[in-house]
Amino acid sequence: MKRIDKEIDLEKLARLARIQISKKDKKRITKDILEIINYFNKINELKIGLSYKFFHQSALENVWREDIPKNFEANAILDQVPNKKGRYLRSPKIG
Amino acid sequence: MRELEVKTLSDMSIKIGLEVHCQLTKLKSKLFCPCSSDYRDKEPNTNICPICMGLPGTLPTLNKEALFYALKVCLALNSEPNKRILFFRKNYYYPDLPKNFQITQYDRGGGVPFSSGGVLKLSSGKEIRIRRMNLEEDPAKIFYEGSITSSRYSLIDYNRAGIALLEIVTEPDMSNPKEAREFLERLKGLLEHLEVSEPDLEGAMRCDANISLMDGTRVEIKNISSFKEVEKALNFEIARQKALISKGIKVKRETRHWDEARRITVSLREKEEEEDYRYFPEPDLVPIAINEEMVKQIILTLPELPEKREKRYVKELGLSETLAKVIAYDRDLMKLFEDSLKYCNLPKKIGSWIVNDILAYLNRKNLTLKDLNLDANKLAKLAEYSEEYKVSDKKLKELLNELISGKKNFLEVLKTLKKEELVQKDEVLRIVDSVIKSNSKALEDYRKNKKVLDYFMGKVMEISKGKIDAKEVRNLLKEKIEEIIK
Amino acid sequence: MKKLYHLPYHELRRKIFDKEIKVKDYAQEILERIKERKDINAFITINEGILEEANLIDNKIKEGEKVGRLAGALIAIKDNICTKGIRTTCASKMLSNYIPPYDATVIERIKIEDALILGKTNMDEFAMGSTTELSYFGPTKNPLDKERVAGGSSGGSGAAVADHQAPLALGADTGGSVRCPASFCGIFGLKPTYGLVSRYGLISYANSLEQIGPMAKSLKDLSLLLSCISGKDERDSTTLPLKDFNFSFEKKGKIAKRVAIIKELVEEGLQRGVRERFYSALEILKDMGIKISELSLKILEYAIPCYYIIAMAEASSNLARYDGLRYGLKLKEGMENFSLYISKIRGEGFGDEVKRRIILGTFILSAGYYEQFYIKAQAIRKIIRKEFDRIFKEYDLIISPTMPSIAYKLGEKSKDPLEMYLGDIETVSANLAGIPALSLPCGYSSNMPVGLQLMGKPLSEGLLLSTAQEFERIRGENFE
Repeated sequence: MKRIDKEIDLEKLARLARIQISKKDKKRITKDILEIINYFNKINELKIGLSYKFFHQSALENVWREDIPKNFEANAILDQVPNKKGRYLRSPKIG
Repeated sequence: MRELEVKTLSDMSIKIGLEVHCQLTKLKSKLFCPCSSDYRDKEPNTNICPICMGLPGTLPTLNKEALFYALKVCLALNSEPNKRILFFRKNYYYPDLPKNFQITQYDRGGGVPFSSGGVLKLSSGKEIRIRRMNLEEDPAKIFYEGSITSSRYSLIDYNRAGIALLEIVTEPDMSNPKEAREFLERLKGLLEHLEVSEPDLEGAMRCDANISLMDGTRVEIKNISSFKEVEKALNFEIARQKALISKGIKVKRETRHWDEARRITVSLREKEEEEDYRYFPEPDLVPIAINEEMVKQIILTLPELPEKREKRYVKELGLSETLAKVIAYDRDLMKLFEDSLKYCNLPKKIGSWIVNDILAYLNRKNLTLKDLNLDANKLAKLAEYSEEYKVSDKKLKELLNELISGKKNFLEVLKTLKKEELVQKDEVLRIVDSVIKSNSKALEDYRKNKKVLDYFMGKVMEISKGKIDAKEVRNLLKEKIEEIIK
Repeated sequence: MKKLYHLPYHELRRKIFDKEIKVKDYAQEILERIKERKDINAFITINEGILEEANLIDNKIKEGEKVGRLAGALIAIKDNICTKGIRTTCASKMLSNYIPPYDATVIERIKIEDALILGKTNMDEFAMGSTTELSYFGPTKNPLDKERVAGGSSGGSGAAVADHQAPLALGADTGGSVRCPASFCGIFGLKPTYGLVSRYGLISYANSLEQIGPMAKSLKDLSLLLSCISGKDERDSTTLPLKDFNFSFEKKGKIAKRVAIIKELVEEGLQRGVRERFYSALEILKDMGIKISELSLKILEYAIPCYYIIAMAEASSNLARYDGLRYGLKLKEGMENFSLYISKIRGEGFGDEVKRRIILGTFILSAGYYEQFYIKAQAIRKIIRKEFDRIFKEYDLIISPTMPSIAYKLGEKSKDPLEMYLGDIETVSANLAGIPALSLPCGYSSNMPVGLQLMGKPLSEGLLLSTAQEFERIRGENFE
């Protein structure tokens, strides 16, 4: 299998995954990741027809619940919020 | 640029497509958790639970009714539900997204949309094709401390997060902003009629538009708050793009924001990177197999659709095509019309009133039917009385308009209506005179007993078949008799 | 003298019902044991209210009230299973202060049976690991040799049971996380059929692969705990429509007749001692009248990459929610920009292996690689499942060692992620195929326990348990 090192842009992936990686870790993580991806790439040795009929781990179908509303004690959830203003959650601005 | 007039739209081919997000407000609970779907006017972050807040360890469960509502809309729009629907995760980070992914459907990567195809007809008969529909979860609402530009933080209220949302995407089949607006109005009517949504609720029906001129670059417009704004935003965008084209500048492929206050579209800051949503099938929800049985069951619950109703009004009720079309496609008018017919059998009269008087008034005043103190019962009574009393059409219109505008309440209108007939006072006088003349004995009795007046009253009422104002007659009688016996 | 904490639950239970002992005294003893053995580092959090709760059960029994099937059982819970009011950290800095406002379904179910939550056990952060060294709260040590790991990721649960710090435990198994520590610590551990046990309240790592499973010192306890947690749950759409699943040993159950061993799982890479124990286990099976055949299953060469591709893809999406807005870590600075802030939170809150797997999962799902990796892995998973179906038409069980080696030395594998992944070769197939797999002790190598793994077709837990029980009996006889 051809190695796919060149195509991998760690910075872009880290940005997509919203994970800040320090400069000192970058080299090490890149090395690990390349090694693992190239190991994963082993599956592409195997030639099989790609079935787009999706595999779902559950053999079940049509599982649902009735449309009945139920309340939850919201304050128990708000108690866990790190940054609040009144009952609002506070988030840094987007952009 | 604002002064640019859009004079001749027809000289350039315009293609407009819409992406409508409509909440299924008639549901009782959210799409994937049992929180109430009625989130409006609630204290922030009270209508939440571990599931819609994306707390660790929680799993979604599908609201069955949401699935059925979505199927109802599919069938009404002739959109084909896919046989086996998988939920997909659309991954992106945004503070209004509790799990930082949205559960929806996807038409690639092994997925299919909820439904494909479909069509909605405009009044001109033109068909706007539906490309696809998806059933997905609504994000939370973001507010700002202060204004959007000055505030340092976003404030988030998750009460809305997880509300069932139907995404309806059209083909770019509309060729002017008016058509786009009409499409939205018809769609709204349909959703109301199917009783799956109340699009008039704030934020219940939201719309993005895309537009291209002369098969050119496609520009998306987001953040449009109402149907009227859609038309305005599109008009602006056409003018903007035309101006660019006429100057030989290439229109950029981009997403623009409709700034309602300034009435212009503005370019959103260009993204550094192409969004990569990394769709993949949601492992926590099992596939949905749409079978014949389900479809049959839903067809049974479908109400009469506007197109069919329009035909029935013309054929069976004798309405003109214009009246039938207007009433059949507007759920509120339709309801008023149909309900009125439960009390009286005067479809033509009621139909004409509804369109020519009531709707005209509403449009003039920019009101909705809910603003009027008018119901089917009153309308039907008025129609019946007007038949009985043979009031002149002119007077009747006047009364109806007084009723609509609230100048007179219903009782006052009825009274006037009755009086209208008594306007022929000569006739009343004649009856009163003749009753007095032909009952001279009673006249003698009256001298001793004033109660005999009732006898005269009875006679007058008998002859006039009661179609007079009794109080007035009583006074009149008393006056005449007193005069004679003096 | 044998202490109370040495006893398996079913023996304690008798004493509790005969009012021979009080649950509170027993709990006190257990708490002392945990304190004494703190260096094992099996627990992250101890339930502060346990003595009071024990008192309530004692009172119930005293008053002659009806009590549940797990009355007085002190259960150690893996720290990725949500417990209302008790801190649940996933062994991550990210959730080090997180207190769930709800109980996982399995917790509700054991509480109904009058079990007590003893505490929350250590694990690899977000269950990503096979050694329980990758915990924000430090590694769990193997009670049999403190220089060695307890296995993972449910290492705290495994060590707690093996070290008599708890009679019973719940773990969760995504690619071997219950079976590996069971094998390394010398206890019983079961990964149930996918959908047998509700995942509601299990903090997701890889949803399509994982199941909560029981860990115990005896098969009787294991099956009792399994019975109590199994069955349909309205809150987990992937649970099978089964009610009152009961694995009872009252009657002697049917045992397996035909068993397959798979060349790809027993040939290469097995430690010598493990191989020897495995083959002597085969002799015992033969003594039980079981016919053993060797098969080859080429596709299993791809099982590990297939497993990790799917697990990481799901993980990258499951762990997206940890952004410090609704719960979890808080930073004082960086509030100017959403993306920067959450990137920083995630950079600080997650350990190296978690970051690695999220980034790899992000890569796997990204445009251009999704088909090559994710879809391809799904296709392979489908083939593996089909192949297992085919084998189970002819054979009752597939057996293998649970782990290719005895417990690793601390630090031996955790430095090189890929090498650690390869150690999961025996276990991941059961998760890919959604079938039940049981690990039971089958002897020692270099004074460390070796585990035997039994895999069966979906919902064959009963067969696995009764075959294992018979194996135990015969092995006991041979031993004597």
